[in-house]
Amino acid sequence: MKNILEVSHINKAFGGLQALNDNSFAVRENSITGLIGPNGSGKTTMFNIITGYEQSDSGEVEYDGKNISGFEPGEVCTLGVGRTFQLTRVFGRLDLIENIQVGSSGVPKSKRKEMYSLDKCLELLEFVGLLKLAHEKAGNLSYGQRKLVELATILAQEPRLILLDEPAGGINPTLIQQMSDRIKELNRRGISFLVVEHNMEFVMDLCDEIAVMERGSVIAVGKPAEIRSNPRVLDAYLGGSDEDYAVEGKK
Amino acid sequence: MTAQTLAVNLDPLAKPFFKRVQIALIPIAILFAFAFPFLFSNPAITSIAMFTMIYLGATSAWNLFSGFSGYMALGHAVFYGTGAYAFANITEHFHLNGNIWLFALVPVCGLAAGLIAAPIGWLALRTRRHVFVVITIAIFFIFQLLAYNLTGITNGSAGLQVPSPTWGAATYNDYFYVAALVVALFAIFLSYSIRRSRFGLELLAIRDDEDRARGLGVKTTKVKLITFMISGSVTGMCGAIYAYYLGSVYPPFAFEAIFDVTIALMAFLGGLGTVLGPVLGALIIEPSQQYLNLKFTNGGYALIMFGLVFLVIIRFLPEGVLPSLANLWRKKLKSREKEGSK
Repeated sequence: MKNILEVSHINKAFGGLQALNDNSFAVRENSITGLIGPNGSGKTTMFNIITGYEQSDSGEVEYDGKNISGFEPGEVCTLGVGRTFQLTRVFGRLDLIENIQVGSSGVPKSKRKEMYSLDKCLELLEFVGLLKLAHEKAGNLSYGQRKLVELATILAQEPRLILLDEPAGGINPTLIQQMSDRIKELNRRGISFLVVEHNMEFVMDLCDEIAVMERGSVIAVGKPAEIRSNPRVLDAYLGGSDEDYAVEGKK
Repeated sequence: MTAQTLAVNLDPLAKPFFKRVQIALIPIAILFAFAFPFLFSNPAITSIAMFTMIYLGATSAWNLFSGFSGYMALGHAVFYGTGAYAFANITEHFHLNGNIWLFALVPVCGLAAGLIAAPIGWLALRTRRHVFVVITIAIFFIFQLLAYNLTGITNGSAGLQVPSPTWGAATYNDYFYVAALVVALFAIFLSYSIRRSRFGLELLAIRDDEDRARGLGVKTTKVKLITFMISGSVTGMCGAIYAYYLGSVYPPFAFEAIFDVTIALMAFLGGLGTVLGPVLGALIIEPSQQYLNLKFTNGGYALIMFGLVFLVIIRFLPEGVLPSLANLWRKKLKSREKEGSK
């Protein structure tokens, strides 16, 4: 199967800190790929580079066979890549319908009117289970509900690839289940996902493939089961040090 | 359930009854506004009404940009003054007489102000929030200085004369009132259409989170600049009528710092970022200010009152009168509905 997103040899430094170090991985078309790793391993920076919010120092991002390195966020979105944020970003003083309508701004002109229509917005709200709150200001919603609004807003762009930054972070178990169901349903409809998440149960259940990052580098890629038993990954997560290896080696 | 009925069920103020009341009230209000000079022919009153309409247009135009986009511009007097000087220059250059047809120049002067707004907006809109406010104030002072010093265009502090109207003193104010009313209605209509459009929604999205809007494909620079130009243009039209009314243009009247603050205050009072909020704000503030000026002859009292009103609004109605009332009403209707369903 071909890759919808291919990231190759990305480097990014903030001052003296090498946030991303020669990073390469791919998202296969119509898959849900997880991107996991301890805090500060560079996951969000990776997201920012893919979606144009930050520029990499070197390396290439290829989406659907097209080199999109250096594109503006708006251009990336118009190509069909949607993203959410770790700290949700909704338009607080607009109601949910209007929030979703803004999402249609990046749609190619021919489809813009359809995606802007009230029916379409209500359909999307129903899809994420927030139809009853259609006229509520997004700022009045709970954190978890805002994540769903963010998702619905992105869906108004008709994306082919969605990048989710901690979709299950800080929300209650019912909403986590709802989020997971929605993602799987969208995936069945042909949308590919790249998901950053700390909730392992959520990731392992959801993803077809997982890439693990540590200190700016991808250290492992594989199926959830393989990742679960990969010693380097366990080490990165459980915080084993070189000393432990040394002790083990003696035994 | 169709989308429309659902939308209605969820917002009590969107019920057909309220829609019908709103739709009925609009023509009544407009008719009353046009009939006003016939109902109250006292020149003292029509003069107040005329100024109220000028400010109503200007604050609606200001709100159209600042209220919707969240960029607080405090230099709109630049466009007001540009409109006034454009009017004086055109009439002088073509040796025009002061008849009623001079009002046809008002849109032209608006266009001039809109063109001036292009480079200003291009420059100022590269910045955000507080920096933007400071830059607009700075540009205002630059224009005030230019008005004193670009004597070729402005004749400096000696000012420019504008042709005196040919109609009689008894109805002197009425023509200006109607012209200002038309510009004000135009400004309200623009606000309304923009608020209802995708373009307006994109402006509001910029107000709430500009970077996110940009990331969703909103062409933020273009949207902001176009709105800034429209806003400046309508403000310029108000300035042109003002110049014609006064009969002369001097730098301190054309480029007046109080103007910047007044139109912002009107929008704040009524409801920033709403269509009818600025209308209400202008209808409350301008007549009371004019009245105080007449009563005390000392403009200082009006300024003190302004300050007090501003403090009271910020403290008790931070959203402005209209949104606060609408929220109260919504709550009441909802609670009544709940009781009804029990």
